[in-house]
Amino acid sequence: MLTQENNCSNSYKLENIGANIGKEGIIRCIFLSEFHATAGSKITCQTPINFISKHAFDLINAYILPKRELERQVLTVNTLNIKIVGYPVKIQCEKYARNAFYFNLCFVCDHYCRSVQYEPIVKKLSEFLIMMEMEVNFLSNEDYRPRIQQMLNKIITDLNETRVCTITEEETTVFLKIVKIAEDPPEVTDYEVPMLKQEFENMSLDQWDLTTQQVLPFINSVYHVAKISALSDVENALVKACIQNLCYYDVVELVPLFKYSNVYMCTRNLQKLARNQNFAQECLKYVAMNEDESLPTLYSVFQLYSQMTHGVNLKTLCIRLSPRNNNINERKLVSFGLKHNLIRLINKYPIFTGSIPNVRQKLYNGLNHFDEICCSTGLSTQKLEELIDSDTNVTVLMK
Amino acid sequence: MHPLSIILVKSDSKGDRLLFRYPFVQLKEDNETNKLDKKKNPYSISLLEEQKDNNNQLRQLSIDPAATNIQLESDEVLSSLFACKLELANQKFELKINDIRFVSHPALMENKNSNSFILINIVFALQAQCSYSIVKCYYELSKRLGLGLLYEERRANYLTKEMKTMLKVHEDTIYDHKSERIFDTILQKSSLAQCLKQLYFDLCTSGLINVVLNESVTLCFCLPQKAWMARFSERKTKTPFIDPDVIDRAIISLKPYHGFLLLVDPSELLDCVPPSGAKVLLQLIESYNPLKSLQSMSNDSDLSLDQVFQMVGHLVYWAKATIIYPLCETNVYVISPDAPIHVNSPLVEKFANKFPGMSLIEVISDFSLPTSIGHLTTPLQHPARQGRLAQMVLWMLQHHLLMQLHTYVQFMPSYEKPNDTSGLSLSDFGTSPKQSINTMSPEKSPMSDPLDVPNSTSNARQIPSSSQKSICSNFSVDDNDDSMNSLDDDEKIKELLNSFDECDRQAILKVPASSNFEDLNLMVRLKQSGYFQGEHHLEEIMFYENLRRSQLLQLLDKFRDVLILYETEDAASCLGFK
Repeated sequence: MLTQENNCSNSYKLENIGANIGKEGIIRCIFLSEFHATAGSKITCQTPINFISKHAFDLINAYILPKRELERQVLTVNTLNIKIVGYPVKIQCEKYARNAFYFNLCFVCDHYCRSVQYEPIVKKLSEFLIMMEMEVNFLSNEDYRPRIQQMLNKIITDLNETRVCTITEEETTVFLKIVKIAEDPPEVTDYEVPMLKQEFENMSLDQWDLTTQQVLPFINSVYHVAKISALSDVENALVKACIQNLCYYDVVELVPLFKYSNVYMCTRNLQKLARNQNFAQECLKYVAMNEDESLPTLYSVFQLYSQMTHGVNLKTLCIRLSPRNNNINERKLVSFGLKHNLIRLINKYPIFTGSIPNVRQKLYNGLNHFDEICCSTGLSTQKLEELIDSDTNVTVLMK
Repeated sequence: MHPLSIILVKSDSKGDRLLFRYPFVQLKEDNETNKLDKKKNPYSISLLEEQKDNNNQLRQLSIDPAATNIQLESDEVLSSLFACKLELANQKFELKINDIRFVSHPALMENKNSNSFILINIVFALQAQCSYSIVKCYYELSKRLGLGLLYEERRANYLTKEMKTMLKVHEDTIYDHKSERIFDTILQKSSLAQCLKQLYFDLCTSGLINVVLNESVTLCFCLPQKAWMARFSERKTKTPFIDPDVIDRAIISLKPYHGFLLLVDPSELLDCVPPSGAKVLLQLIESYNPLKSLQSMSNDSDLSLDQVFQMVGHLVYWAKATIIYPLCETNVYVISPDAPIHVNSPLVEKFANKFPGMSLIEVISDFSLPTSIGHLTTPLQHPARQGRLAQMVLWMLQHHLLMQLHTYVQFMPSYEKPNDTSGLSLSDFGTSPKQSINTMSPEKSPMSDPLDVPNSTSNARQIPSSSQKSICSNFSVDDNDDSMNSLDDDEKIKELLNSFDECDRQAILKVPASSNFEDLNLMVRLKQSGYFQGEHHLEEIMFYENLRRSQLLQLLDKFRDVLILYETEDAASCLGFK
């Protein structure tokens, strides 16, 4: 068997691979390859120099300068412990020795990292190079080589450091930006409460669209979506779309509606509060009712969280432990807990077990919880609770 | 997460060839319309996926619409792409073209004598969005298939024969460009092709693979994400809720006191182990009992604990079993947060069939609040009733409708009085975050002195160096009328508390039970073993420290002023169902 050669530099192998698996990685190398009329496939320029060896390139060049059918498609190849994102291009023109010029500008990443975020950039850069080539023979004329090298150097440094890069060649300027690919945002429901993340609390409205500008002032960690829609006089579906958009950009997060009748339960993450001093500090600062007074003690906060369990609602808990005497704002306590997954809400799901349900009882199907039913029927929680308590055909599950 | 297509490519001295591809039924016209659809709506793939998931049966017969994308590349292109250079063989190979990811592990077979070689590449085409863990599983599958073929080639020239069969079909129909027909003929003639077809179906349906190559090599493989999803099909989630990583973590946190619960009938277990492992599995199953811990099953079955762990881990990976704490009267259960219970849930009917006359909704509503089997039954009731309830609880655990709550203990004295905190200077943490609260407080105590005046122990806090003496004196004054050997105890207690810092020591001494050497000794031992950091639940402490529940509960109650108890789930038995 042929031994596998270590083609790329090994310096980064020492880094912690485990933690970065499947995450976005930095660009290790950028290279430009072309199909030379006489010399065949080769790397024209690369930065850092000699990252991809001649030998490695020969092994994979079938995927760098592939058959005609795969032109102008983003092609990612992952082998030999490197991942290469490219966009093979062919420019048909009689001025070339073979009536065509083939090239591919590739980004190289670690084999275990995500690279989708570079695909639009590779494509955009390639389109730019096509244009430059057609206009001034930017790629095929060897005089431009130093400039290309310089350009690649700039791209790799700027993108890795600042995630943006602006390059100017001749009279053209190209703006490159690595766009973070976030998860699909969750669906927004009427009864959820959007909460601005702390770092965005004082952001200006100007950068947002008109709907968002109208909706944002009502996002105060207290109002739920349906209420925001009513107060801001924006149609419900638009508010939801707008908040979903804000979720996507990680500006807001959704938490369940705060009620004193809510029941919470602590999770395994609670131990983090006792173990991580910085986290505990952050928590104490956040939940303090009055910042001028001395901060609440970790003991009192931990005690409150630890007593959150099935069958104990927030009201009972407040009466039992009177958080306000310890300078703890119970509302903030709950939102901090939910935000950091120290606690979770236990919802009540009524299920109709009789034979013929009426209109409201049809909602008791086990899929809707109290908040949801309250929102869609306009009943108060208390009223709903009474109705369900008196209805012998309804079983309530808590989960 | 199922493959869009399986592609078999060979490369040898006679060149490269796409030998077989499955699924292949694809009319060109269909292809065109599909492509048009796709252009209209960029999300069409996911929408079609939804439809598919809704009718599993149909999906088995029809062809994945996303697979049409592969058709965009001709067989020749695919063949040239996957007949990679020999140097790339025997390592992972991945190629992404637009939104399709091709994953494989090319296998190279060299014949030293005739100086010939065969490179065989079994490629799985996946949707590009597939998670890293799924891609990794497919690498592994491709690798194992390659190894199996390599073995059979050496033993019986299996691959050469199969390749010959396939190539013959290709050559015979070379002028007939309908590739479907070629592949259909190959499927009839080649056992390898049939294997791949079987593989494709298994991957699309159960995620569990048990194929035999050339009637001799058994390939057992499991795609855990798929297997678990198929097991809990009533949950209708589109994202896999179980990752191999989660399973690995659960297996790592497996302890001798855990038990396991089979999710299938024991007769359905044998297909998940190769024949060589069957003996161990049978041995384990013979002593299987959801009421027993792994430790006792290991004793009963003459298997080492390691073997039991491995086998249980394997069963969990294959979605055949789940980890539980052995069923007993004191276990506390609640409804699991994602339990798919609603009026139209298929589980309701399934339950009614299994337990005639019982309603799932009614039974499970008892677990709206944390409840144990002991709570729901009284000794006066007929024992059969309790047995029935236990059966129902097991059934609900099998379907992950219930989750067990455990009690965890956190050592946290309440010494930080609100007015004390200025002394403990929480704001200081910002400047020296590395310093722990424990090391900090003694240094800071002089500052907090003025506020501390009403505190009877302020003396001790003021002069940390002499603190031990003052504690002892305090102590002996309080307990002068104690037994004769109190002085000895004092010494011992002093020693015991040496390892605690000042504040903790004060707080512990304030607890009346600390005057009892036995109690204090046990408490300190447990604390120093790290049991009071919210990491270990009561059952674990009982198991490792050989304590009775009542003993431990009494102790925790005595020291309740410095300990906070809370109930939540166990990492191993909840398997990340969220």
